[in-house]
Amino acid sequence: MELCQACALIVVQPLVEAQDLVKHFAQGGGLVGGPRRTVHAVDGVSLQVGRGETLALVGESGSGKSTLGRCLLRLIEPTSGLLRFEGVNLLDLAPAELRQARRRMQIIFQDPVGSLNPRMKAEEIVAEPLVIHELATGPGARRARVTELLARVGLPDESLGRFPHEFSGGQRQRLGIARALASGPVFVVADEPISALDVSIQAQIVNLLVDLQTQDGLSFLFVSHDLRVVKILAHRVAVMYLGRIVETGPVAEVYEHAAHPYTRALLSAVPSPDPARRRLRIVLDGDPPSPLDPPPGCAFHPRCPLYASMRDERCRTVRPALSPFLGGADSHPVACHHAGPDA
Amino acid sequence: MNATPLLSVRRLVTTVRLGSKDVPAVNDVSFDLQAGQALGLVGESGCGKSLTAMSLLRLLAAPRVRVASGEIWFEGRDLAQAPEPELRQVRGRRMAMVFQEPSAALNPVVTIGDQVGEPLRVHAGLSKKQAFAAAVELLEQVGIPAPAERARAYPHQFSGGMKQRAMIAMALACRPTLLVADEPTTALDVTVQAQILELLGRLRRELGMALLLITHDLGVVAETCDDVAVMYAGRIVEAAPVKQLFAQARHPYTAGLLSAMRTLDAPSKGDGRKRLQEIPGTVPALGRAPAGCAFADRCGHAAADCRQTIPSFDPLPDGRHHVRCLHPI
Ligand SMILES: Nc1ncnc2c1ncn2[C@@H]1O[C@H](COP(=O)(O)OP(=O)(O)OP(=O)(O)O)[C@@H](O)[C@H]1O
Ligand SMILES: Nc1ncnc2c1ncn2[C@@H]1O[C@H](COP(=O)(O)OP(=O)(O)OP(=O)(O)O)[C@@H](O)[C@H]1O
Ligand code: SF4
Ligand SMILES: [Mg+2]
Ligand SMILES: [Mg+2]
Repeated sequence: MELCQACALIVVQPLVEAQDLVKHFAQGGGLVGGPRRTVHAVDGVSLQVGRGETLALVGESGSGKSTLGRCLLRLIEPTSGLLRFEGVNLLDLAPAELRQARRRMQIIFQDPVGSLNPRMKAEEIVAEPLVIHELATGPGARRARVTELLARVGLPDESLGRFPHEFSGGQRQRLGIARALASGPVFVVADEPISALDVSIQAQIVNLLVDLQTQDGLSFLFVSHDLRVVKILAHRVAVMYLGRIVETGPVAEVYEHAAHPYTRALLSAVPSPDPARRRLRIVLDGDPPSPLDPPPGCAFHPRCPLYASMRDERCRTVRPALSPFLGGADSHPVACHHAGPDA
Repeated sequence: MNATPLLSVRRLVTTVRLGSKDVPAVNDVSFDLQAGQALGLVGESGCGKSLTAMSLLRLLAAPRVRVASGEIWFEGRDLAQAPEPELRQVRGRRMAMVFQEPSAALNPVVTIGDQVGEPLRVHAGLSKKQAFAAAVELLEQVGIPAPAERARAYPHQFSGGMKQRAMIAMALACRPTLLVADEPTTALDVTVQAQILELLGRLRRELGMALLLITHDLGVVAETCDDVAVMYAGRIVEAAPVKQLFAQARHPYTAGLLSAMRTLDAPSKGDGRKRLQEIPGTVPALGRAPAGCAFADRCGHAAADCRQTIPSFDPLPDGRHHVRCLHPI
């Protein structure tokens, strides 16, 4: 089939693209005392999310997942790097243009308490994006849209007039989901969106996200610690460790042929109610690395079982690049000097 | 097994104010917990798990949310009746709580180190400096990298999982005899989660700490707890030793939950993406409790009597498995 140039562009152009994204924070100094230090939260990340695609982001607590998600929407300013949304350089947009773009890109925050205005009722919270972007304006239209959204996340009409503190933790989380979906975004950063939900409600939300993707071609960056849900929901997965992506690829490939020792440890630690399914757990010894002072070479080497047995100098001195290892059909990008089927 | 339980909750009812009415959000809840044991509390989002936990230490937004009736026996006193000064002696010292949402519990303008050390200042008389040093050690135990420096950070400078671990560190500061942990590992990756669960296991073995663990992760329950109680719409509907519950759920809600979990675990065809199984229908809204069993509308086993009679919480013949159902599976 021949494609005109514009169509071809749409096909090849990812919806979201980040290149070499860096985010550093300052900590210490001033009133708190102690030396002023730099937190290397995100340390050179490149990724793409296609239209209608779900990219899952997994990795160690504190490895920079939420920071990366907020950078992608420019909710915080990256220290450096390139950022494109629908082909437009996001970092070039003026505040008014950015506000416009926000209708099409939304976030479900990891922390519902911190992100829901305690003085607003549920109805106002979910309607806020509709108000800001002047959507669903007819009389009664806004309330209808809000009740529909609440129903889709499993909250009854009785919720409309209640304040955030009058909900349970999982109910608050679902309020955040309803609000993020209200304006009809094309890209949603979903930061641990189902972490407070029981398996049945989780299933309801996951099915809702998949339905929206099938119907409207939504794209997701899905940050999650739940590796079982990631396997079901995502097309591709990226594994983060200390501010960097250490392995990425199609979900089935990464799960079945994990090549990075950190990914393997992670996959081995999923708790299971079925004792037979509890695989041999790889325990990570040693201190977790500090983003104030990332280890030289491979950031994982102080805890890496491969380094512990081989003591390869390169692990300690040379930072491994994220490049495809030669694993035949299962080849996908990994940042490890010793990645490979034999490792 | 027959020793006096560390914690014994009897017919607890906690109400919330809706409009001008007080409606029960926790209803007729009873359970025991022995020293060193771990009890898992699971159930549908909004079923009353957190309110049950917060009722134990009466950390409720009174008067709109309050313990309306029932008994909470802990170390020889009934906390349901205890006056506030007595409760303050228990909170954080004998019984400590890890809240479901760290950012609601942490003070945004106090450094993490000062907050984690605070229970030791209040209850053990440590100086500010000593408490800070102890906090650094506690933060290290929960796996915060460079703890001496990170202790100077404020909560907003911590990631979700780091805040959660700071709260666990704070709760453990005084080595409580009972830890009430409300979804303590939701923001942790599985390797850090395993380390935290291992730490809690060690405290149970070495110090006889008891654990009330609220979680939606049934895998965590299976690996951590001795017993498990399942809540639905404010009531405990099933309770049993963990192995027994997973082997044979007797309440249709529990069975639905386990089956939803198993479809999540089951291998899938093709690219792995599949629809997940939900329990059809929705829970009755608070204050709209039906005349009979609250699960009847969603239940495949419901008969006519289910819509008229509220089932009582009865032991099955083996004595350790309890179920609140007229027609247990
Ligand atoms: N505003 C800030 N100031 C200083 N440091 C920060 C700030 N925000 C985040 N950090 C630090 O950046 C690092 C990455 O944090 P981030 O929240 O992105 O982690 P995460 O991968 O989302 O972790 P989790 O899984 O625990 O939520 C952490 O060390 C955190 O303490
Ligand atoms: N302050 C309040 N005012 C009114 N209703 C409340 C209040 N706090 C909680 N509720 C309601 O009481 C019920 C039980 O809440 P609780 O927080 O105990 O649920 P939960 O089992 O912990 O749920 P989750 O798993 O979602 O955290 C919910 O339906 C909630 O909406
Ligand atoms: S590069 Fe070396 S230290 Fe890093 S993961 Fe690979 S083997 Fe381990
Ligand atoms: Mg996070
Ligand atoms: Mg709760």
